[in-house]
Amino acid sequence: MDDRLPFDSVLVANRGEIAARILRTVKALGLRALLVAHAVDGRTPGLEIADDVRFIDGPSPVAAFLDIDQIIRAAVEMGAGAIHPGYGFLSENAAFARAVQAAGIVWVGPSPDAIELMGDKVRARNFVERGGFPVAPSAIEDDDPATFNDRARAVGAPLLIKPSAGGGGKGMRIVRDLAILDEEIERARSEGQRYFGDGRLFVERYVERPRHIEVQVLGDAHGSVVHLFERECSLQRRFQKIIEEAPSSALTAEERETICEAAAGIARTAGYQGAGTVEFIYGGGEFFFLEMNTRLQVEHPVTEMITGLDLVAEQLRVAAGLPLPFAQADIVRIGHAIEARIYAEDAARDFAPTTGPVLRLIAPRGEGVRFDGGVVKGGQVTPSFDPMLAKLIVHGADRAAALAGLREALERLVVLGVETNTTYLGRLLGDPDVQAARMHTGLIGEKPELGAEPPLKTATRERLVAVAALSDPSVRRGLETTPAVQAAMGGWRN
Amino acid sequence: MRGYVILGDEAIGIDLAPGPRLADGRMVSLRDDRLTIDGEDVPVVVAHDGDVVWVHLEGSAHRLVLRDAASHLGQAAEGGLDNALRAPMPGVVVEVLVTTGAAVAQGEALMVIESMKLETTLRAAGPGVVETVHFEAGQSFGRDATLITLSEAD
Repeated sequence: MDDRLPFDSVLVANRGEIAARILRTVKALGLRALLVAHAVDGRTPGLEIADDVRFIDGPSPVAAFLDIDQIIRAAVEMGAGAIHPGYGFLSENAAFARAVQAAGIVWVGPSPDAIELMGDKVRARNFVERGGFPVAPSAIEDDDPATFNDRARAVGAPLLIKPSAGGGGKGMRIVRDLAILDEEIERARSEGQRYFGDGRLFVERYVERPRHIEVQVLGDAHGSVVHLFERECSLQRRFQKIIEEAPSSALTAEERETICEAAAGIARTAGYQGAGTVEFIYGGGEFFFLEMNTRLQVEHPVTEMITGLDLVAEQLRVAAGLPLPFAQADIVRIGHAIEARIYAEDAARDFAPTTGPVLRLIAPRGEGVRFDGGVVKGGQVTPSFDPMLAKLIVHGADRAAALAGLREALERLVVLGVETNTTYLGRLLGDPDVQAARMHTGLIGEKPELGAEPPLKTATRERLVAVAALSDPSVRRGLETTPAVQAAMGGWRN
Repeated sequence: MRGYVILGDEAIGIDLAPGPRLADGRMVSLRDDRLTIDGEDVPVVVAHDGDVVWVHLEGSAHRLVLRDAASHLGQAAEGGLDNALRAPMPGVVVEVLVTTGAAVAQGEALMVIESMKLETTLRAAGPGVVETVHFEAGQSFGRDATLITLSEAD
């Protein structure tokens, strides 16, 4: 079937781990792998895989990856037959999708109309509600801007403020005290304006201790839509997922059926083509539609590991106009998969981003272990981009096996030169509530003590100091050449 | 005089004697990513970045800073930087909410910064008077940079 693809090359308009991950499938399908890159990243895994690369630039590194004209130019120069946008950047930008198509290049994603529909959170919500699918109580600024703050207040605390144009947690605020509602609305508007060029907002009821359940869907150009089961992503910091798993332990078999069918129904109603994710808030046996992401999701590997499918390969086939090679009944899930996002950040300082060079990187390997890396030795972690460095995904026969395997793999992952959240993730996975799958999206915020590094054992401290000293060339030299008494007393670093 | 390794907030003196040996006489060696102390052998991965030593040991990474005694003691003497509002992360100033000479209360918002697409309001740790605003809106700064200095309120 691969030889029937109407293009022989795919450009990835992205960076980091997702660029490398997509390029691998592109090559596995026998296609030329093309990439745009920014010099600030230094060495990257994508550069090592790609057959051809164009460096792009802009007022800022992020701006380069948002520069539609420049990326299309690079694609035309390299003779790209298709463009895969990855996630983030231009992946949910309908104007980019249209520009790609106008340039005679195959767009790997849903139709620009579907992107627009789901990209406007207000329209999407209304669309889903009209289709008879469940949504949470809300107030929409656009309905009547003059009364927005009053209507927001009427939704009641706790409530969540969201930019209409937003996604990925940017600009979102929980308000529990209505006294600061007006102030929080202004702050969210300022962020929305700055990140999405659109300050319009909406608020909705915030479900306390909710779980985040989302469903992977896949539709083709021939009217077939299937779901690939759910993922649970309840472990989040700052509204961003850091641990994701499939299946969810929260759902009964009946609930799973209901929520997965609802997601497929929403996609079907929208005439959706390609890979997409329908996100829900789940609490107390109820679930509400949150949003639909019209792209490949960061956490798609857990779905791949339980279903054995390659979502990028399916995206490329759908973009080529081929029918899905399976029906719903053909899709089976086996075992349990958990993903941990490796971020350059300091868990003890409220997850503040960190930067630095990648001096060493050793990825864990083994059966059921997958490492989707976005950096290589010699790369640079800069404040220019999102601080996610890699994803570590482990598959096991059941949840306990996957958890144990992931904790063990995290200990074997070596990243030196920039502080990461790996030890934090290990502590989080060891938490009794996480072990028992008693999770909700506020769990991380309720357990700040997990952020603190435990005190070092005396033996560990001794080892660290010995390694630091012995690996320093001047100390080594000093120890070899100075008499005992002097070395033990003298300044050792000259 | 001795050398120091800064580990977290702590400075640990180093005593190594030729052999090499730890201060208590136990033999220690580092070869081929293995550390051996008194015959007991553990795997390590080490990387240097100037004075910073990164060590992966017992399943986690550690950041240590090598200091000679003179510069370590010099820094400790400076001390007393409690009145400085420091950057929790590298970023850009979005808005400065106070002016030089203004009296501020504990918890008062001083500055809005942005880092990794996230806006954060930085607040005064205690009451004081704004002595210096080190960065204006639009300027970028590194982690731990002093953003605003407060003096004691009289």
